[in-house]
Order: sequence, then C-alpha cells, then structure tokens
Amino acid sequence: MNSADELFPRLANARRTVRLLLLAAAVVAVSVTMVAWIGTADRAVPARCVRALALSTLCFAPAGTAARCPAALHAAVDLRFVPGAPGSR
Amino acid sequence: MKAPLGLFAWACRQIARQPGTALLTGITICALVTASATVLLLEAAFAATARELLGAGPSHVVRAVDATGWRPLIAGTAAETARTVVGVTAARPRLWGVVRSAGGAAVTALGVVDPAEFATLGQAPQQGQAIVGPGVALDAADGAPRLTLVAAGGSRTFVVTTQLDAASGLALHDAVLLHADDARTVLGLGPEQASDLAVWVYHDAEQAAVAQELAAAFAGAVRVTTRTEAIGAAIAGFAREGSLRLLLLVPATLALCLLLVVAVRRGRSARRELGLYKALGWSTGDLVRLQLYGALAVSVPAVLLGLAGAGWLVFGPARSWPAQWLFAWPGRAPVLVLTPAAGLQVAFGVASTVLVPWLCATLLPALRSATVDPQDLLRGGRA
Amino acid sequence: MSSVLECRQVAVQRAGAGGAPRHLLDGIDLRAESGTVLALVGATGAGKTTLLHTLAGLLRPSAGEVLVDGEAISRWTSAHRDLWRRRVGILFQGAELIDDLSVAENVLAPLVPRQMPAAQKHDACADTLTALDLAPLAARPASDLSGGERQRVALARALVGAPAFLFADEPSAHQDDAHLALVVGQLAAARDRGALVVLATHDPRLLDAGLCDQVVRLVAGRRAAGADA
Repeated sequence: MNSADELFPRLANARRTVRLLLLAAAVVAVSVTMVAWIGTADRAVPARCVRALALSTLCFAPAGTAARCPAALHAAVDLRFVPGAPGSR
Repeated sequence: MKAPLGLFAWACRQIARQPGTALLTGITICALVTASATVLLLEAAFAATARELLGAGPSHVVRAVDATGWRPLIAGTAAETARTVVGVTAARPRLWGVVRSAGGAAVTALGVVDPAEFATLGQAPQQGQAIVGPGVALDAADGAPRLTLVAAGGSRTFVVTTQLDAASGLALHDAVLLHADDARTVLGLGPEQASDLAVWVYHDAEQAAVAQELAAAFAGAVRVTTRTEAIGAAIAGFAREGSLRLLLLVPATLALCLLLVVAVRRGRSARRELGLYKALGWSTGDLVRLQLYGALAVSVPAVLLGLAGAGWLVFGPARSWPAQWLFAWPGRAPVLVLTPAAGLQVAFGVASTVLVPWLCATLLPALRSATVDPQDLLRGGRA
Repeated sequence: MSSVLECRQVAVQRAGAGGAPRHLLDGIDLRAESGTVLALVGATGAGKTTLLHTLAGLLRPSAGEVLVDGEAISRWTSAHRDLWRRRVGILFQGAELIDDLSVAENVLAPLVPRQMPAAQKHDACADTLTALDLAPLAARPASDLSGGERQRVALARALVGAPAFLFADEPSAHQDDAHLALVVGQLAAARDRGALVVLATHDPRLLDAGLCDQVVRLVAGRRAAGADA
C-alpha cells in the first residue's frame, strides 16, 4: 500500500469524479458564454438598419402577433399609420 | 502519494456514498437555475438590446396628432421647423405604417427616404421593387419573387429584390422596404406627406428639454417621443410578459423549498454521523466545512450548467424555445445583446438566490450540532 | 508532558420510566495520570460506558466535574471541548463504524480534518492497520466485517491519531487469543508513548494481561468501596 490511491481507492475516485464534474461544468459554461458572445456580434446588422432607417421601435415580437398589433402598442411610442383603421386618413 | 486526504476529498466521498440523492439535488438546482436565469437573462438581454439598438436611432420622433389619432406631417415644413430648435442637429421625415400582404399578414411598410444613408445596407429599392425582412412571407408564385400589398387605393405587387437574412430580424423582421413614392402610395400619403419626423440632437442629456422645445415649435398638436421613452416602453412591455411567466417558477421554487426542508431535517443516520465525527475529534468548524464542500461540489456544477443552459436558450442556436414561449415567435428568435454587466448580474443574482438558501440549509445541521453533545447525536438526537 | 485526568463527585442522571430520574453514575471520584492504564470494570449496566463517555467529554455530567490537568471540562466552551476531543481517541462498545466506507477510510476519519501532510496521514493509517492485522481488509466495506474485525477497526481508528487520552470500551470483545495479543500490544504501546489509557471491560483476559495499573470497579453507578486493584 504505497500510495493513497491504493489504500483509499474510492476516496481518490470520488475526488477525481467531482473535480472532473466541476471542470466539465466550468468548460460547458465558458463555452456557451463564448458561443453566445460570438453570436451577439450579429447585432451590428440590426444596428445598421436602425441607423439607416431612423427606426424608433424594434421587432421584438413577430408580425401578426398581439404584441405587434398597433392597437396593443404603447401609444406614445408606436402610433403607426394603419390605412383604414380608426384615426387614420 | 497522489490524492490529498483532506476535507474536500472526504466531502466528495460523502457525495459518492449517495450518488442518487446528489444527482437529484443537482438536477433540481440546475432546472431551477435554468428556468429563472432564462427569464432574467431574457429581460436583461432585451433591455440591453433595446438600449443598444435604439441608441443608434433618432433621439426624438415627432408625430402630428389630432383628436382621432395619427395625422400625416408635411415632410419639408416639419423638418425645417425641427431644425430651428436649438440643439437639433438633424431631422428626417419617415414613411412607415402597417399594411397587409395579400396573404393577410400584417407587415410594416417602410419608405427609403434617404438612399445615401441606406447605402450602408445595400442598394435602395427602385420603384416597383421591395426589400423584405426575414419574416415576410412572399406571394406563392413561380418566377421572380413577388409581394403583393393591400394598399389604400387597391393592391400593389412588388418585385422582391432581396430578402434580408435573420441577422437583421431584430430591426426589420416584418418590414417591407419600398421606394419613397411607393411607400406613400401604399400608406395613402400625399406627395409631400410623411408619417412622422425623426430628430437627432447634439446632447442626449437634453432630450427632455428639446422635446418641449420641439412641441412648442410646431403649430399644430404634436406628440414628441424621446429615445428614453421608446426604450422604456420596449422594456416595460417585455417585463410585463416576463413577469407573468415568472409565475411558472413557482413549482421550481417549491422544489427548492422541499430540498431545503430535506437538507435541514436530516435523518437519524446523518445526525449519528455528525456525532461520530465530533467524537473522533472533528470540530464544529470542520463539520461546517465538510458540509460546505459537499454542498458546493453538488451545487456549483449544477448552477454552472443551469446558467449555461439558460445562456444557450437565450443566446445560443437553440433560442427558438424561449422566443416561442415568450413572444410566440414563429422561428428562431432575434439575436439579443449579451453585455458583461447584465450577464454577470443575472448569473450572480440567480446563483446567490439558489445557492445561499441551499448552503444555509446544508450547513444548519452542522452548526446546530455545535451545542449538542456527541453522545446525544450518536443516539440520533436533534442537531 | 504528563497529564492528569480526574473525576470529582461525577453524577449522570437520565429521565427514567415515568419521568423519575435514573442515576447512571453517582458520586464517582477517580484520578489517573498519563502513561498508565486505568480499567473500569463491573457488571453490565454498572455505568462503565457512561463513565468512559463522560471522561472522554462526549457526555456532560449532571453533577460533579471532570478535570484535565485541574481544568473542568464541563465548564469549557464548545470550541474548547472540540480541541479536547482532538487529543482523545475513543473506541465505542458497538464499534460505531460507518458501514459503507472501507476499513481504511474508517481508520482515516479522525485524521481528515487535521492539518498534516497527506503522506503522514497515509502512513499512520497503513501502520495502524498493519499493527492490528487489518491491512488485508483495508479496501473492504466495514459492513462486511465480523464483530472482532469491526472492534479492531474501531481500535485502529481510535489509535491512528496517537491520542494523549485513549478511551476504549470493550477493546477485547470478540477477539481470539491471537488478536487479543495484538490489541493488548497496541494498548501497551499507547501507554508506553505516554498516553493515558482508560478501558471499560469485563474481559478477565484483559485484566490478566498485566496491562492495567489501576482498576476501578463500578456497581450500579457507584464506585465499589475497597474493591479496586
């Protein structure tokens, strides 16, 4: 019984397993953060669109959903012209 | 001699003695962190995205209104009027509004007023042409892609020269970019009219003051919206959606409470072991450290994986699920901004919200054992 | 450094049937010095284990005081008692092993929180296991052991930290003669390196081994008058 691994095999294994788990979780977390970070570089495109077209609202909700319905939007911000809708002419 | 034979190794061995319990605990913590961090990350990312992107837009939007609602502006006059206000550096009329495509979907028609400015995105559409956002469904027809819009004076069909890719979705998901004249036709505007007026100021800090000046400068009734208001409204709208969804965290929180109760009300054998360790010369501090290491060894990977899962759902390629859940978005959600500050704030907040009660519940039995005789603990007394 | 363990009028009460107090120990006086072996003897239920645990600081007396070098353990704070227990090795009557840990891990347990090199912990465990003929069993779970093996593992656990005070409850239980010699040898070795060894036993083989410097006989929780050796 020259080594602790030999005398305490399960102790050594448990410690190794937990350390590997911690390391793996950290690697996964860092990788996902990096991927997310790199992915958000795409935001340069919508920023150019906003600047070029002088937009003051964003498309956080898709067309055709309640959140994009002019009637449901904040009146102070998104008072859009809707042909045929009340108030438009 | 490789393995140190200290408290951390012993704590790992304790976990390995009950792998099922550790696994279930880890899964519960991971699920709770994922659920709460997804909502909070979405909110934080949404706010950061709104701030960053709308920061590139105009500082004010001036809209003419009357008792019934929106009213078109006379483009040239309105721009001249705005430029007379001190602090205004630029003013540009905008042409936009919601119209329906032939398929019945609501789309946002946008007229390209300044082709020079538009050059950063590509070639501006000519008359009869349209550039459409990634979420716009084109007419089902053979040959060149076309889009028919139901205009104020009848339907008009445009040749679609470009369909923008998903990267532009956040700004132009449902947009149809048209030549200015076409946009006026579709929106029912006269040749000199515009939907509203975009204004830029020299100092952002003067937004509120300039807004008052702008409102006073126009002869008719106008509503002036500042960028701060636009950002605030965007964030508030999302927060309303998100807070409703937070109710779904109730079951996850109950699961955490259950974990805490189980951790605090440990079984007779666990108390016996605490007593045994004390009898073998372990101090209360040693027992607390043992419990702390054990709890951290389970919860830290679970929290890290939970945060990674939330990050993946919100920012990664799998971001369609939360988008569908929160916005009924039909495909992949737009790319949101991840700022280090917002990310760290959410990560720290969620981690501490879950970890602190969990660690406290885990450490409590060891702390309570400080005042109990080992003999009583060995008999299974309260710790 | 020589240490003295004293008991002055120690009493331990527990609530008995119907709520009436039951005297487990009553008016116990004794004194023992390091480098000696004190044996507590008596019939089952005489109070040997209770006195042993009281002396070891696992149990606070209802009355009287246990003193180490003139200081009363019962007046110490929890932190002081923690420090005291680190100087103590204890062998329980029922061994009290952690069944799903290996023999080696059970023996290692007292050393885990100590600030000492891992190699030193390893060597202490390996040496103690070898001395008690437990080395071949080192990797086996404690639940697989026989009664005698369990008791030797518990003794190894009590000895591994080279305690200044060793409290052993029935250390010879379930031991054949060959293994009894190993046990006696280890207890004698502990005494010879200056530890105070307190035994609770009713095994005449242990008393006849010439190990004990002092024998205290207990009868129904009291020290039997004139019966000590």
